[in-house]
Amino acid sequence: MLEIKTLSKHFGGVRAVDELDFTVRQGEIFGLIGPNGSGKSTTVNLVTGIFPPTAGEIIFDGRDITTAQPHVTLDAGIARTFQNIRLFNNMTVWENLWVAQNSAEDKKATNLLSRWMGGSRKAKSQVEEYLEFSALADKRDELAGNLAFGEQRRLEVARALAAKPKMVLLDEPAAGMNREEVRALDERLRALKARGITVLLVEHVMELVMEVTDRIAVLNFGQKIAEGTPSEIQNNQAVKDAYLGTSGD
Amino acid sequence: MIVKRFYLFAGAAAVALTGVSGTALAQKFDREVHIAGFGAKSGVVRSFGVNTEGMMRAAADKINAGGGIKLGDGKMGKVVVTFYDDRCRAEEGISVIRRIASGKFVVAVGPTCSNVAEPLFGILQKTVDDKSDSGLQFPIFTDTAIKGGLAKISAWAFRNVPNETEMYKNLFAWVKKKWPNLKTVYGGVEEDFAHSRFTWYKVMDKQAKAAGFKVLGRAKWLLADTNFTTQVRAMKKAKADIISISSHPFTLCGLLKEMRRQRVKYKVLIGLTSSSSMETLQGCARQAKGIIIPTSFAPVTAAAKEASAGGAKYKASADLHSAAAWENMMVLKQVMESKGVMAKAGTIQADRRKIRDGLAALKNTQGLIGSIKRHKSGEATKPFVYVHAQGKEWKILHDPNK
Amino acid sequence: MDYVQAIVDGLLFGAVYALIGIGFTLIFGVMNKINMAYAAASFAGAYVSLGIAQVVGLSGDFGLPPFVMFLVSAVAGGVFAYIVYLICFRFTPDHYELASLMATIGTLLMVDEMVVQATNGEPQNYPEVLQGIFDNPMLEFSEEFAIRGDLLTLFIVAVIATLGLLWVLFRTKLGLATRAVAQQRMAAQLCGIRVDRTNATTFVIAGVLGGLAGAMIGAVVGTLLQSLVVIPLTIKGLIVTVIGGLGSIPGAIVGGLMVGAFENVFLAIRGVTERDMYVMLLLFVFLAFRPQGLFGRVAVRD
Repeated sequence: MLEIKTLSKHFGGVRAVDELDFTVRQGEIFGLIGPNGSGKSTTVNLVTGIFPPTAGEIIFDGRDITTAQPHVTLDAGIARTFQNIRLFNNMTVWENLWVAQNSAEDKKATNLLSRWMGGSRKAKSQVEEYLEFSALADKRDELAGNLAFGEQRRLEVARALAAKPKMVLLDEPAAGMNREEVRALDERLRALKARGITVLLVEHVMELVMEVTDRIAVLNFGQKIAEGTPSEIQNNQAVKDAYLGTSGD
Repeated sequence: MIVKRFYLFAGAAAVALTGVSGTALAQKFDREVHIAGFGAKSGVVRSFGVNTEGMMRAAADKINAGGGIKLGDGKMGKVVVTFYDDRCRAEEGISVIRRIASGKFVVAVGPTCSNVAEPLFGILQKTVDDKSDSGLQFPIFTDTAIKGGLAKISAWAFRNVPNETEMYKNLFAWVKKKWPNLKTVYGGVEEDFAHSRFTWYKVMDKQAKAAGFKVLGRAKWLLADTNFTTQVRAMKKAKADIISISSHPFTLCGLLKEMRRQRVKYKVLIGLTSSSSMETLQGCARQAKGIIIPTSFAPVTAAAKEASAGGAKYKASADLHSAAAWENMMVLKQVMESKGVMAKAGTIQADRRKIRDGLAALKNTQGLIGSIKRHKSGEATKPFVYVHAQGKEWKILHDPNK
Repeated sequence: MDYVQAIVDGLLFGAVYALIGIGFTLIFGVMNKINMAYAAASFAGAYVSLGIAQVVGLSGDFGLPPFVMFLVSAVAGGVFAYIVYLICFRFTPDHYELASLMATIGTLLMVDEMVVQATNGEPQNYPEVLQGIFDNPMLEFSEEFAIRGDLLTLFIVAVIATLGLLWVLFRTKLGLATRAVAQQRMAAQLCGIRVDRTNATTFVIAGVLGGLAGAMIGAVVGTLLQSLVVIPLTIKGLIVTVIGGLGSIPGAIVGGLMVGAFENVFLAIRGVTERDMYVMLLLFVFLAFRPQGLFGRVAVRD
């Protein structure tokens, strides 16, 4: 689904991502872990086109999206969430989802007015669906900025879904969550997989990563130091060194 | 063959034509007489500068069509006019006149604004042949700047502007006679413009009182004002019979529109000389209907009509100020011929002196609507009529000379 | 009683300042940049409407009814705004912060001068708001207090325009996109919103409002004089925006009304020379004690 080939990003002298190589297969939940500053978020930014790489290639679903801009990657089928939540705080929950509702149907709308003004009833009912999915239906008219932290996270994921992506990049969705919320997140991730959506999960909360992912890649200083199934990674010496060597999570 | 011959023929014809016209021009004029004009060509009073320039050029055309100026050695001089913008600002005016004086010009017509004229005259030499005075020795013949008593500042300054004291004295007396039950006057004045300010306080106010009217008060505003609500409300409360406004077309129109809005009632409306122009009618013909203004120009004689038509070719409208510029050009021709101006590169300063002396010696000049008396002070007394706004034109209301 | 009259007149006229302030604040809210050429483009629109009317009309009369002229001016304002967007924002380098600001200042000066050349620096008559319909209507309540019909019409038109804008912002998808870009630029991009297209549309909407404001100012004052209108109103628009809070539409509305009333009251009390001084003083007070304005945005954007 997603192929990262010798991807590099240099910021001046700093090698945030250094000749990264990994592949995410369709329909799997792929974990991306590593100590702070290992290049995980940079990788996500590169994939979604926030900035272009210094070298390397990114192929998604057979399409070269190496230098593609955000709206192009979105068109291609990639959605993402942010480490620091970037909800539209002054809009309601419903509106936050509605903004992301960019269905193919809307795009083909022959009536320009409909595209700009209304949006079809079908599109609106789909928003309802996402509200249900993330258990936010009763908060639909609440301003996003007023939601509890966990609810905001759920909304962010729902918003990524509203774009009907083929793959979702989740940037530390479990940060700041308690046990119960993590468990709920676990279930939702599995539900995504059940719908056929590929998931790239960047995370620090190890229990979640080990529980829910199919395969994992480990980064350190911008380079991949290990790749494999959760059990393989758990027993990998290089990984243990990396985590023990730094201040860990 | 045919083609070649055609080109030969065409070429010969071209050479012949240029030769003919070239020599024709050369035969018509021997030298050039450079006259400078300067005035406001930007801002709210821009129309004055535009009109003056147009009339000067039209006058130059007429002079040149008649052969030009007969110079001291019998040769003919072509009149060439160059116009400069002083932006109605004193510093600009002074810098412009210095530039003019350092060039080939023998005299300058201008300025438009009294706030330029006053300091400008101040940098000229006060008395001729005063070796201790290092002031500029350059003759200026003013067409427009009308604030009273300026020419006496320097012996090199001359004005062809009407005497407003005379005009308004006459007008108020006439109004008193024609409408004997009118008793009160309320004024309006542009405070930041030398001309309008002087004319209200020293002319209109004074002459109204002299004629026996009671002046109830006056409204004040600035040259570029657009909001007259407060002033008009005070005016309305005063309930005067006559309203006398000393301001230029821009604020005059603004004020009149506000007066109409607030339904101010009056019996007679009097305006400032400078507002007897097309600009007023273009701006607010409806609101200005019936306003009475004394003016030293109206197209009532053949000469006046000719000047009007001439200016129209240069998109200039003839009013008391721009017509004075035309008169000035004709007077200068007369003076230059009588004094034998040479218009040579080496005689420039001598020519300037000759022109100054010639202007100083004049007792009378021929104006467009009558004879103009000239005074030792450098000022003039011009014949005048009263006009009033009627739709798209100014019509003569009364001719005090008859 | 004069104070009441002055305040009311000022409030009514302030509606136009509010429109200009809204234009500035809209653009700032969405792009985090100030468009110094905003008032210039708006008045260029008003002059275009004047030019067309003069061409259509015969010998000095206006060939078009006033409300048509307002429409033409609004459309022209939108067109000019789009051109400004292209020149000063779309094609200026993103990483050089000052580039667009400098470009808009340059555009402001250029448009100002173009207007001078086109009109020869002379004041141009503009038809009154209700010309042809009523003749200088006044609602007279007493001898001391009356409301000018044209000012009232102006106020109503401004209110309608503002309501129209709010409807677009809150009831249409376009408006939603605009608000999204204003709140979270990157997230909006990742929701598939074309940011440059949204910005361009915001510019055009602001330009339409501005063109309308310019035409109305001309109509109420009765003349358009470049030296009294382009740069002074740019400054007043900025003052309104700052007082109201950069990025806040309700702020611009309140700020506009406030500046209008303030200005007129001090005109009545102290006269024209000092009037502008007091407006500046008001600005200074705000900058010193409440720099974020009345409704300044508190949230910090990424």
